[in-house]
Amino acid sequence: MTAASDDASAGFRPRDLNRHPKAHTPNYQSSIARSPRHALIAVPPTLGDTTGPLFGHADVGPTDHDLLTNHAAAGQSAIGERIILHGRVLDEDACPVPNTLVEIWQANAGGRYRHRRDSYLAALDPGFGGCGRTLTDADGRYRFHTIRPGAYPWPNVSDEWRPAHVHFSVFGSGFVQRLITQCYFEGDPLVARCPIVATLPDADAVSGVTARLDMDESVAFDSLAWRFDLVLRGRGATPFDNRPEGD
Amino acid sequence: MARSTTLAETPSQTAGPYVQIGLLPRFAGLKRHPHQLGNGLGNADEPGERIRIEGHLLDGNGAPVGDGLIEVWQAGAGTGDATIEGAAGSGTRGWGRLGSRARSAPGTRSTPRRGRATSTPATSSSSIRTDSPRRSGARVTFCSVEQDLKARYLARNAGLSASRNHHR
Repeated sequence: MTAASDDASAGFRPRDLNRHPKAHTPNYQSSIARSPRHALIAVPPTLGDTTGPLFGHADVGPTDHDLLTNHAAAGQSAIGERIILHGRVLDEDACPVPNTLVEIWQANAGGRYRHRRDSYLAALDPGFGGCGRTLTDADGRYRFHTIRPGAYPWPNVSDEWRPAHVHFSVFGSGFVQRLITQCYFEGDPLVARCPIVATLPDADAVSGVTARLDMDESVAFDSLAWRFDLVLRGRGATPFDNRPEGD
Repeated sequence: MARSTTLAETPSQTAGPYVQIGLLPRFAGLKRHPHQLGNGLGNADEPGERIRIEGHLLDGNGAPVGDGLIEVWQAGAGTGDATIEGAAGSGTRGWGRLGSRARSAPGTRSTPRRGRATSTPATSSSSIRTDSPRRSGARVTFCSVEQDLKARYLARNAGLSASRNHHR
């Protein structure tokens, strides 16, 4: 088949699937019934792959990036260790990805999500929803103010504990850059024990989803800062169209 | 394969069972959040044939996936970024989201079908996010064959179907 259209000619680099978890990872039990059993089919890219929805400041409210206050009553704040979670969204060519939507969700300081199906013993915090969003600036920077989430137990092959983590959703400029991931916190001993972290292929991949303590951005007598940079697929020189079958 | 990139892509991790509180907060009951994104895929003023896509999100055992997220993105075929730019900030940017629930009617979106590019059919790219380590990519292709609608499935366990709806 030929390239989809002239508009789609600015292709993206093929995704290196060896850097991502395999879809079927039985030690993460939920993947067993939720992974394909048929080979994927390669299709040529179209405009719908190389473009993506545009977001603007009208999409983001003034406190959407501030999880300390965006669910709390006026004058109140979420309970927990106050942190700044910030970084840049770049592509593989090290170019910043500006004006892209970054969304996060997380458990509260006790390790409980504000979700009807989370019945963990830890208390809900009336001042914490656990949902935030922001747009990157012209240099690809984003910044959230939140609390450090707690670890929590979950049922898997046996009972397990999730390390503290924040879920991330990022768009980029083309839909093929869409990324859902999580960031962990440097130095957390639960990271090495987690079956979901273990779906990653190697230590370098784990490093890619680890936020690092950033004292330079910490605010004295207020909040520690953690830095987490995200890298989306780049446009680069390798034409998307030349991706071999099954790559 | 030789790669001249200077940075490696951030690896993906599962969206987990609570993806809906992050990406569909009102659907998940977080009422203090003033709005959620992706509600409007098309509005009444937008020209075009209106179609409905509906289906069930099922796992490999055929069980309903009650914690899923479906995103739909329709590029403005033939006009590229200009169309997208024009739609940004309104309800008609061509992108929408909905969540799945295990015991309710399947989620639906009514949307104008996008124009055809000269060389290719108009497409909607859907990504289905569930409690799974990596996203499943599904593309529903609306073929340009007159009065015929075909769907191709990349993720065959997704349980998506495309059907024609003569009018809403």
